[in-house]
Amino acid sequence: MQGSSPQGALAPATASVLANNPPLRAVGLTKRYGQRLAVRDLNLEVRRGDVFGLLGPNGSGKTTTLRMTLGLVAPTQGDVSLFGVSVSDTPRRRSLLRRVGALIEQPAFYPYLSGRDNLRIVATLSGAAADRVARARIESVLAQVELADRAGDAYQKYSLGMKQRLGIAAALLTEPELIILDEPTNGLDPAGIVDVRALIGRLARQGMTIILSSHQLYEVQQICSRVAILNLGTTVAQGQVAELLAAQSGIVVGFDQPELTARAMAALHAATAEAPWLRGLQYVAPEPGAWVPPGGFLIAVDAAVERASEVCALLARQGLFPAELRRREGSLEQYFLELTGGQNGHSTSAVAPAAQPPTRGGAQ
Amino acid sequence: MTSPTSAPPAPVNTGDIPRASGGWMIEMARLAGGQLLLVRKRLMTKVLVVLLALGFAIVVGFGVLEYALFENQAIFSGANACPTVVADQTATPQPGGPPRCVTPSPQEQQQVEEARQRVIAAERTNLTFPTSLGSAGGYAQFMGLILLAILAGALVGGEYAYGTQRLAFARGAGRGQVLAAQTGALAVLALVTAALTLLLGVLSGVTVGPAVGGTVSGLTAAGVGEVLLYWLVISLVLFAGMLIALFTATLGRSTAAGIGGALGYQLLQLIGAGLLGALGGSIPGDTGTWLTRSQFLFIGPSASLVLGRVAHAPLALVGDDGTGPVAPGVAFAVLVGYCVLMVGLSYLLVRQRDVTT
Repeated sequence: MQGSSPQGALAPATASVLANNPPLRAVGLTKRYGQRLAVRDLNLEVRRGDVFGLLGPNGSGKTTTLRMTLGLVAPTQGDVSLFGVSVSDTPRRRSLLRRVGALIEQPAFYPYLSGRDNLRIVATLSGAAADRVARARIESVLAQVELADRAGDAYQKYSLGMKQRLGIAAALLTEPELIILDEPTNGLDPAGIVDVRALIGRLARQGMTIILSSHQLYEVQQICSRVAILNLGTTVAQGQVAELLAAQSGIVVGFDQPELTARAMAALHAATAEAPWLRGLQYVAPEPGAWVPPGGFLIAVDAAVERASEVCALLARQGLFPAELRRREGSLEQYFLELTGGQNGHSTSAVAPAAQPPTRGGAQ
Repeated sequence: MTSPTSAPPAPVNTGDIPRASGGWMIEMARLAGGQLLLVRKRLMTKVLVVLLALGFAIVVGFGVLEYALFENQAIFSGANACPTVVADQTATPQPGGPPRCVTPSPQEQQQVEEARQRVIAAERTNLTFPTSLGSAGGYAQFMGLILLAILAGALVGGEYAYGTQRLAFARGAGRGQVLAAQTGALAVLALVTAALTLLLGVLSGVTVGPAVGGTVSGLTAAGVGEVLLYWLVISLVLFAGMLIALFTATLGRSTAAGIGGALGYQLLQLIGAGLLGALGGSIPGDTGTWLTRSQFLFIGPSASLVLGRVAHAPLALVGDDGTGPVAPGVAFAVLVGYCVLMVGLSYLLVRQRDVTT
C-alpha cells in the first residue's frame, strides 16, 4: 500500500528535487515480454519546457516506453524517473503521477457516462474531490477543447475526434507540469488533426512540457523543439529538431544522363582527398514533386550551401556540368527514414554510395 | 518551433485547479464514490433493480396464490365426489375408472381441516410483517446474489474492457487503492441490495399480509436486533458472492470472466454441497462426518447456518436454529475467509501485473 501523505504534503527537500530535475529521464530502460524485447537499453531525457517528439515506426517501443513512464508496465531493467524520482518508487509514485497528464493510445473512458461525468471520475482518480473547484475546472477544460456544448452527451456518441479531445481535456484537468500525448491525432480526419495540432501548439506556447509520440513527422517537425527517434526498441537519435535538420541539409547535384551521374559520383569521391569537406556522398531520390533526373537519382553532399560553387568547379574540371545544383533542405521525415531503414511501409530516400547509381526500384 | 496556426493562445488558468487532497483513505473513499457513480449511471443497474423488484413481486404473488388455493379449497365438494385431499391411495382402483374413494370419518375430516388451517396460517404469517422479512432475505440470497454477481462482474471487468484501469493508474491512483475502492463499493452495494430487498419484504408484509388476514405486529428491541443481524449477514453473503466476481474478473481481465466465475461458483456450490451432503449422509463413520462438514466450505451452507443462529428468535425469520455439523462460528469464519481470500488474491494479481490494455 502506498504512503498516506497527500500531494500537497511533500517535504521541502522533496519539492526542491522535483523542481530541479528533468521532467523525464530514462536510463538503460529495457522491457522484455517473454522472448520479445520491446525496449532495449533506452536512454532519454526530456527537459523542462520541451515539446518533445517521440518518433519511431510501429513496434519501435514508443508506447511501451510511455507505459513504463507512467508506472503501468514495470521495466525489466533500467529506470525511468519523473522530476528526479524513480517511477518504481511505489510510495511516491502516487504524488508523482499527479504532476503528469497522459493520453496513452486511444482515450479510455466509460462509454455510458457523459464527457462531463467522465471528467468527474478523472478528478477523483487524480485524488481530488468532485467539488465546486473541480466542476469549474471541468467546464474550463471542456471549453478549451471545444466540447462544452456536447459535454452532457454520452461518450459513446462522440466522434473519434471528440474522444481524442476529451482525452486531452482529461490530461489537462489538473494542469499537469508534464503532458504525455501518445498518437493524439491517430484516426482523426484532416480537420480533427488540424484542431488537435493547434491545441498542442497553444499548450506549447504556454510553456508546458509536452511529450508527443506521433507518426505524423511533419506535425512533429512543426511543433516539437526536441525529438528522439526510436527503432527496434532503442534510441537511434536524440536532439534539437533544428540541429538534426541542419545536419540533414546540404547540396544536391543532378545530371540529365545516368552515366554522367555515375561519373560525377566517382569524381567527387576522388576529390575528397583535396576537399575533405566533401562528406556524406550518396545517391538520393528526389523529393516528391521535384525534378527527376534520368535514372531517377541525384547526388547528395553533406556540405554547406556556400560550397556549391566549389562543387561546381570540381565537377567542371572533369568536364561535368550539372543539370541541377541546389540546396538540399533537411526534413525530419528524410532523417527518420534514413535512421529507421524506411520501415513502416515507407521506402528509403537515401542509398549507399556506389560507383554506379542504382536503378530505381531495383538496386535498393 | 511553433504551430503554423495563428490562433491566439487560450488561457489554461481559468480558475482554481482541482488538486489531490486528503490521505490514502480519503482518496480511496472518493474512488469508491466514483465506482458507485458508475453503478448509478449504468443502464444495467436500472434493469437489474427492476428485475429484483419484479422477481420479488412474482414470489409474493405465488405466495398469495398458494394462500388463496388453500383458503378456497373444498375438501369435500359433494356427497358423491372424491375428496381432494383424502383419497385412499392404498385402495385398488377400478380398471379405467377413477381412484377409489373412501368416506372419511368425522374425526379424519377434523384432522384434515386442522392441517389445512395450519398451512393457511403459515402462508398468512409468511406474507405478513415481520415474518415476511424472512422470505425477502431468502429471495435476496438467491436472486439478489445472481443479479449482484452480474453487476460486480460488469463493474470490475468493465475497467479492463474500457481500458479505464490504465486511466486510473496513470492518474496516480494506487493499485491497492483502486482495489480497495472497488471492494468498498461492492460492500455498499451488498448492504443496499440487502436493505432494499428487506424493505420490499416490509412493504409486502404490511400491505399484502393484512389483506390475507394477517396481523402486523411491531418489533421489540430484540426483534430489531434480529432484523439488523439478519440484514448484515445477508449483506455479507452477497458481498462474498460479489468478491468472487471481483476476483474472477481481475483474473480474466474481462466482464465475462467476472460474471461467469461468480455464477459458475453458484452452480458448483449447488452440485458440490448437495453431493457432499448426500455422500456424508450415506457413508458411516468419520469419513461421512468429514464429508458432511466439508459442504460447509461453500458459502451457501455456511450462510444458512449463520443465519439460523442470528435470525431464529424471537422473530423466527429463519426456520433453522443454527445447529449443524459445524459450529456457527466456523461457518461465519468461512464467509469472512472467502472475502479475505478473494480480495487478497485479487490484490496479488493487480499489484505486479503490467497494464497493457
